[in-house]
This record gives sequence, C-alpha cells and structure tokens, in this order.
Amino acid sequence: MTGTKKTDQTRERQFKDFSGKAGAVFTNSLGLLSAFGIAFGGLFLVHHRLVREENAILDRGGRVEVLVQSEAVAAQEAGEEISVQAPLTESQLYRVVEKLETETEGTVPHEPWENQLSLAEAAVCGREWVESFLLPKIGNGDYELTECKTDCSLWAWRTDVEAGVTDPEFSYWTVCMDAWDLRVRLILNAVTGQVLSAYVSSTLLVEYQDEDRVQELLYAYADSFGIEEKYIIYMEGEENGLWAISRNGSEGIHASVETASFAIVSAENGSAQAKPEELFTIELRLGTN
Amino acid sequence: MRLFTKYFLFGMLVLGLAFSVSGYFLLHYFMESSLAREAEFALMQYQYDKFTVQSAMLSYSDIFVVIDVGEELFPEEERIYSMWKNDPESSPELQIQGNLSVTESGLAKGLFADLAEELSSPAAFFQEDGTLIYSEIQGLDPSFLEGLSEEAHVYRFQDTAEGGCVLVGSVLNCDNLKTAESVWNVGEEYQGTFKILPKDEDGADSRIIFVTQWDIGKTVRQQQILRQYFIRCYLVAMTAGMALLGVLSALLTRPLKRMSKAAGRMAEGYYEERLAISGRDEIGELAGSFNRMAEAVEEKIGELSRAAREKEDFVANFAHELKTPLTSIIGYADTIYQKNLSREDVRRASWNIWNEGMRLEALSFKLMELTVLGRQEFPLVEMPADELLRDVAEGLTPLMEEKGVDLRLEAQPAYVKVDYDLLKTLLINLVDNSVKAGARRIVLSGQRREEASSPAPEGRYLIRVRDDGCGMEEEALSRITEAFYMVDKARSRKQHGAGLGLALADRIARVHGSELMFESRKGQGTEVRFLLEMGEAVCPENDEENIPGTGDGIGPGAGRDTISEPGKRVVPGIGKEIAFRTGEENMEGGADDRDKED
Repeated sequence: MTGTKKTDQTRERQFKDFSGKAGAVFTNSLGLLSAFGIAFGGLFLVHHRLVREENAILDRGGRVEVLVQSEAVAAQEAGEEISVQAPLTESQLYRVVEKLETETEGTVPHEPWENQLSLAEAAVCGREWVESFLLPKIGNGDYELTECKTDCSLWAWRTDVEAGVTDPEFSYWTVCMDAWDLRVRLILNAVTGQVLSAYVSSTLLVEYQDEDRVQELLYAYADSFGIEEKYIIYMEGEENGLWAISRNGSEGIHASVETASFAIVSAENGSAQAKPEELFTIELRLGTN
Repeated sequence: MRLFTKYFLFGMLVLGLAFSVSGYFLLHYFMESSLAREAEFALMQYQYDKFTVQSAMLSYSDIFVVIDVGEELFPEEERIYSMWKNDPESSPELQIQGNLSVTESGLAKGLFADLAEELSSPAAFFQEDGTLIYSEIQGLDPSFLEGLSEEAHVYRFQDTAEGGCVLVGSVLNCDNLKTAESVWNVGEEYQGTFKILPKDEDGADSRIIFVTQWDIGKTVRQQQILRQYFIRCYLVAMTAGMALLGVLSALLTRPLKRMSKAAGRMAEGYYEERLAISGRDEIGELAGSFNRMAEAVEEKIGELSRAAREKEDFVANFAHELKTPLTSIIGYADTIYQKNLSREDVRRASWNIWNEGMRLEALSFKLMELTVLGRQEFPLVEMPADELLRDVAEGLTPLMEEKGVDLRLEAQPAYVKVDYDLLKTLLINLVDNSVKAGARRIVLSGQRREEASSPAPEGRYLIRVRDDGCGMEEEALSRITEAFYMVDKARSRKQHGAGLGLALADRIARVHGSELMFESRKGQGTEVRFLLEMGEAVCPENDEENIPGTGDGIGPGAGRDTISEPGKRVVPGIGKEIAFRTGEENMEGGADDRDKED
C-alpha cells in the first residue's frame, strides 16, 4: 500500500518536473519568437505606414493665396497712364542697388505686393523707357516697337521672403522686349519703375557709337535719377567701344554705361558669301561706390 | 522564462523600437520636407510661368491680322496662325471661297500650344467652364479644376507613371486676348471677327484656367530608394543586433549561472566555494558580495563550530572541575561518617572538605562573573591610573609578602576611563597568575605617551605586568584565555586554579575596548600588556613623588610604600573583596568573613 503511494507520488513529481520543463521551453520559445516578431514586425509596420503616407501625400493638395492686380492689365490695354510712385531718394536707391549688387542667395518670383507695379504697368514702364528715353538718345526716335514680344517677371530676394520681409522697394521687375532688330533687358524697381539696369543689343545703332552721344546718354540716365549735377565724368576708351562712369565722390551711387560693337558674319541661304552685320550693345546701370 | 530570453526579448524590443521609430520619423520627415520643397518649387515655377503667359497675352493683344480672302476656300485656322507667326507684319492675301469655317477655339489652340512651348513645365489651358483649349499634361484629373480662382494658386500632388507630379493652377484674366479678336477682312465679300477666346454671354471678362505640372518623380523614386535602403539597413542592423544581444545576454547571464551553481554547492555544505569573477560592474560587485557572504558564512559556521566545540569542552572541563573537589568532599565526608576518626583526623578531613568547598565557591563566582560580563554594559569613568595601580599593589602586598614575591609599581600619572572594580579584578588576576607561575619578581607598570619612542600610542595608557616566572610555550599563548584552559593542570589544581582567571581578565579587557597581549618565553617569564583609553582630565606633573610605591618594591623588605592589610586578600571578582585564608589556622574565621561578604 505504502509502496504504491510512493510510486504514485514519484510519478506525480516526475510529471510536474516534465510539465515544468516543457512549460519553460514553451515560454522561452515564445519569448524568442516574440523577439523575432518585434524585430521584423516593426520593419513591416514602418514600411507599410510610410507607403500609406506617401500615397496619402500624393493625393493631397494645398492653396496659396495671391494678390492679383488684374485691373492694371485693362489699364495698360486702354493706354491709360499708370500711377507711378514718387522716385526713390538717393539713400533708398543706394540700398536697393547695393542689395542688387551684393545679394547672393537668389530670388523668387512673386505676385506684385501692395504699392508695386503690376505686370502690365511694368511692361508699359519698360516700353515707355525704351521708346521715349533710350531710342531717341541713340538716334532712333522714330523706331516703333510693334510686334515686340514682351516678357515680364517680378522677383524678390529669397532671404527677405524666407524672413517674411515684404519691403516692396527691394523687389524688381525684369522686362525683356524682343523685337526684330532690338533686344532689351531692363531691371525696374518694383515700386517706381525706375530703370536700375538696362542691357540693349541691336543692329540699329551702328551709326551712333560716338563718344559724345554715349556721354549724353549717360548724363541723361544719371539725370533721370536727379543726381547728374553732383557727378563728374570719367571716360575710358575700350577696344570695342566706350566705357564711362559717373561717380559722386567716395560714397553713394554712380551710373555707368558700357558699349561694345561686334561684327556678326553669317551665311545667307547656304551661299558661301558672308554678309557681315554689326551688333551694337549698350549696358546702362546703377552701382554703388 | 529564462533570464537569457528576457534579456534577448527586451533587447530586441528596444532595438526594434529604436530602429523602427527613428527610421520612421527620419523617413517621414524627409518625405514631408522633400515634398513640401517640391511644392514650393512648383509654386515658384508656376509663378514664373504665369508671368510668361501673362506677358505673352500682352504681346498677343497686339495681333492684328488682315486677311484678304479671294476665291480660295478659307484656310484652316492653324494655317492663318502659322502665317502670322512666321511673319507677323505680313498681311497674307488669300482667296477664300465659301463660308468661314473657323472655329473659335482653333486659333486659341495654336496660340496656347506655342505659348506652352515657351514654358519650362508641361502646361494645360482650359476655358473657365472647364473646356480644354490645349494640354500637355497626361492624365490630368478634371476634379482639380474645380474651385480654382484668380486669388489663389492651388496645388495638388498626383500619382503618375513617372512617380508623381505637382499640379498647380489658377484662373487668369484674359481680357486683353479678347480684344485681339478685332478685325480681319475677308476680301470684299466677307468680313468677320477672329476670336481667340469666346466672350461671355453677359460680356464679362474672359478668363482661362492655367495649370502646370511639376515633375516630382525623382523625389518620389528617391523616397522609394530610401525606404529600400532603410529596409536593408534595418535587416543588417537587426541581424547584427540579434547576434550581439545573444552574445551579450549569454555574457550577462553566465556569471549569474555560476553564482547559482556556487550557491547550490554552498547549500550542499561546501562553504569554501568561491566565485572567480572580477570586474567593477554590478556583476563584479555582486560576485564580490557573494564571496564576502560566503566568507562570512564560512567564518560564522567555523565560529559556531568552534563555539560548539568550546561549549562541549567547557561542559567537559566544568564537569571535570566539579568532579575532582566533589570526589574529595564525598570521600572525606564518607570517611568521617563511616569511621571513628580522631579529632585531629576529623579536623584534617573537615579542612579538606572546606578547602574543596572554597574551590567550588570560587569556581562558581568566576563562572557567574563570566556570564555577567557577557551580558552587561559597564559605564567607564575617568580616574587616575596611578592611584588605581597603587590600590591594586597595596591590596596584593600581604600575598606578595606571604609568597616572598617582589612586586614593583612603576606608574605614570594619567586619567583613564575604566570601571574601577573590573580593572582591579583584571590586574589582580594577572598578578595572581604571575605568582602561580612561580615569579619572584613582578613589575606592574603604567605608561602614557610622552615622547615618540614611547610604546604607548597617542591617547592610550599602557599597562604591563611583567614577571620572571616559568613562562610558557608559544602554542599555549593562543589558548590561555580560553575558559578552563590550564598550561600546567597539575600545578594549577594544586594552587586551586580552575583555568578561568585569564578568561575573565580577557573579558574585562574587552569591556574596556582593549585586549590582552601576551609575550612569553619558556623559563624566562611572561609579559601581559593592554591599553586603556585616556581621559580628558589632566594630571598634575608632580605626581611622580606622590605616587606611593613608584619605583619601590612592594613585598618582603619593601620600604614605606609597602601596604598591607593582614587577613584580607583580593581575589578575582567584580569589586569584591572576600576573605582569603591560607592554611588550616584560618579556616574557622573564614566562614565569618564570607558571611561578611555576603
């Protein structure tokens, strides 16, 4: 009787030991499997979530409010005079030109802000400057800018935009006018429309390269900013034209003009006979001393 | 779950979470920022293209086409437009027969197609009602056109075969184009209006929807490449992490396994088991603690064994010590009872019984004191050491005279913290031991630290008892403070010793925070030293002269400092003086003295 009881107890103990060991093996295996599950499940979840987010992003959009000055287009079309702001003072000009010369972070296009010229106004300003200032000064006053392709864009400095600074004076319009024999690229102050820089290339100007006319052009350009009387003229001969500078002492802004002429030879209708053509360039610009 | 598995699981959890979460946020941020940047670029490009379109509209408003139509059929509108495009200043003369077949959108299509060519991005132009004028954009979702206005640039990402794109659109005012529909003459027979865009029924300004497409396929592909790269990195990192964690877990659990094994062996009784684990980390500290614990356990076990052995020895010795006098007492009592003895014999037998009884009494006192010393705390008080030593010396004078021992006292004045009675007992025991060792000359000295070469340390008072007795062997020194231990048992018993005197003295020294130090040479004598804590009180410097017995002999032939109190002798005890009789002649008075003591 006692022997049987002992055998039963031994068996029970053996069974408990075995089930304890089996349980431990099962638990440990489960633990290790969980570790693998965590490792690779995490990867699956991350990948799955990122793909879902990418798909969600590729299905979403946004909206950026812009200031539209559409009325100016109609004004330009109707040939109405545009209301240009008062010219910049010399100190304002200095700051604007200095930024134009020194800023290196680049520019971004933007819709005109308050008090800035609209695209049509900028185009009108550019065209007027070419027609009523530049062309007469270089002896082409009767030249008409018909069939001229105009391309305008307004730029602000990236650093200003990123910093949230919207000073309208520092923006500028680039106005490119492309006619049959005249190509003009202007930089206009976005508020006043004053031409801060002008690059002109033309085949019209061959007869007007003399020093006096260029000097007169420079005077007039400086005069357009109301600063000509204080300036002295320094001119220097260049191989392909004249280079002149008008400066105001040691500080402030100056106006300069650079001219050059090039002979372009092109074959006409496949014939071997070359027909030379002279291209004349003028670059007017403001700079800081 | 095994600790290895726990470490591994936890490590993988942390590693997996860290990689997943950081990878997710990194890629998510990169994707968001890349696409936001692309949207920004798209909007900038759109603005630039919009300027180009608006500028072109200004140019096209200058279109003035005069066509003389003759007998020929009216040319297709594309042809008219191409004629104008190739030579805007020319006025082509064409003969047209029949009715005009120019559709209003035809010229517009050519115009906007040319315009789109000037743009850097694919573009599409719609009439405001959603009618397509011209489009270069493939698969443009028309729903994008809904809700567009002139006051906002709207963008939307769109999935494409190339990966994706950003569509940007808004409404443009084209009133200037409408004015270009001005005049064209059809020979002499027909006149008509050449419209680029139709005018609204109510005469409002014509407007177009201008949409551009900014390709972001490169960015989207870059995202996909990054994700694949992340997967590879993740797999490599997790595989390496698994291997590392496996090794790390094994390394971390190995010492614990060894500790567990060692603890198991200790449980089996192998108390000498130690762990050879070094290092300053927690495992090293744990191993150190384990080893210290093992040492403590081993030491404690050793102590317990020793204590048990000592207890056994104690009981055996005690039984033996009891047995000898009891045998003697029983023997003498039996003799008195059974035999008719002469008065002289009865007297001798009675003396022997009394003598053995005294021995038993002394034994019981000492045992009691030993027990009391182990259980009680004694407050120490400051008192002059020289006076204490002098008291001891004076108390021992009769014994010294009787034994013919020269006891000399050399005590420097100082205050020490002692329990007077206990210390006196200690010193008496030491001197008594010297006497029993056959000393003819005993020096009892006390020294304080006066100079660097002094043997007494700073703040301690050194007491020495030197004798020229028989001394003892080196090996006996380690056991002489054990209860009932006797170097020469025959001699001790003869002198009524029970081997408890030095055990008691050692216990008293410990009560004073000190211990007895023995130095002995066989045949040359013994020196016993111990230190006492000095008190804060300062002794007068002229005490040298006032100390009785300083530098003088105490004992037979000693001068004025010899102090004796006949009939009394201090025996080892706590603050007690009991009557001490030697010889048969004092036996009778002894009972009275003991009664006094009681």
